[in-house]
Amino acid sequence: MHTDHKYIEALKKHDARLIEEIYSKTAPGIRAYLISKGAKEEEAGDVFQEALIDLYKLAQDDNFVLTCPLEAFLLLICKRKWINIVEKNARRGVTKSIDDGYTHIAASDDSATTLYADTFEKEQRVLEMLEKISERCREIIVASYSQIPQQQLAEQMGVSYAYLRKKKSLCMAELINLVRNHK
Amino acid sequence: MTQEERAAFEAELQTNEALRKDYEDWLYTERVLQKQLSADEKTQELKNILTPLTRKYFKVERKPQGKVVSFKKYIIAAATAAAILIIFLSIPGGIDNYQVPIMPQAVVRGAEDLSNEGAQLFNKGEYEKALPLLKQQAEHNPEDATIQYFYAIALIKTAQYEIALPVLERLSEGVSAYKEDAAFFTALAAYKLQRNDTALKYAQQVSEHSPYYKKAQKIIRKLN
Repeated sequence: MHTDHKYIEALKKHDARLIEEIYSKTAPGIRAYLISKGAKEEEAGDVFQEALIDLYKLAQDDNFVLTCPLEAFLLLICKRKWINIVEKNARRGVTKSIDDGYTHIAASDDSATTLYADTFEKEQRVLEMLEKISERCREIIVASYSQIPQQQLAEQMGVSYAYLRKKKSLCMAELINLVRNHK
Repeated sequence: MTQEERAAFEAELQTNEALRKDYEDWLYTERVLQKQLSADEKTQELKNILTPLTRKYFKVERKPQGKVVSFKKYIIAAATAAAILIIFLSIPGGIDNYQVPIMPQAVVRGAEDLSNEGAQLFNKGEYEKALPLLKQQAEHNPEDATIQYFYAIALIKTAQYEIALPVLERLSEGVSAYKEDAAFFTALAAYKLQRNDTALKYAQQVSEHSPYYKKAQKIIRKLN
């Protein structure tokens, strides 16, 4: 476990002081990297904040352990996010050099770190596909993972418990199919 | 599923490759949704901590965009704005309808229980009950901008503007991530105390990318 793992715990506990320390230690370097790759100040801020939220979600898995400096891990996530944005917006002139080496921050060559980043991207695909299924299905799936007991949920949605279970199964099948087709 | 049905299903899983793949995909998707969607509920709370820090470390300046409009359009826009302003001024307490930030938990290390209880009460809107806890932490941690900020908002929510004002002024003059949001609350406290020059001064410090920009502009319009 790297000593920077304390920042992962800080995110999990919403420890405002240590979270500010994350910014003071890592934001300047990552900002400089993103700006050098064509991001505007506002875009760089959005990417950095989203990366922290991704990290927070990753950390919900208790087995997640940071094995490299936080800055290197954040750089890896930000770099991938920026590549996705650039490709989406087809800023080809920028993409050409986006994955060039960046010497201000030591990049993570830790295979465990890369694996976590890959795993997270795969999980994000499930969420992206969740946005693409029918509205009713999305509503049922999202609600069924809330803290509300399923019986109560069925009542709130005005359907029987049996219907809710069956509909959830069908919706999950729809979601799984979409994820399969977008690999 | 009965015990027999379960046994039959597990036996089928051993031999039916397609079924096993479907089952594994199902379990994986369930796991991902469980993890991601349950985290979503707490993400908003985290965003409330991150957003002011992002603004501080990534100095975003959103410049107003110039627009060419016809004279006729300008008249209509001005008339509409005037009508909205009249309606707004006729509604009592319009500026009080502001968004209250969510207080992060475990703000003060070494006093997590106290801090969490204060934060929980604050986030439930029970400001009267939260106030003594937040006050105690604020007195013990005068340099902690987070606790000072939420203590001051609890004071505002309980109409103790006179006490809130100096706390907020310190934050507005400082360098913390709460500087700009605190400027709005400083303006609000001063406005409530009818210290109009102070209210105007701090309302003007709230920039366009602040979530309180529109409310700050309302204070300015009311005072001008």
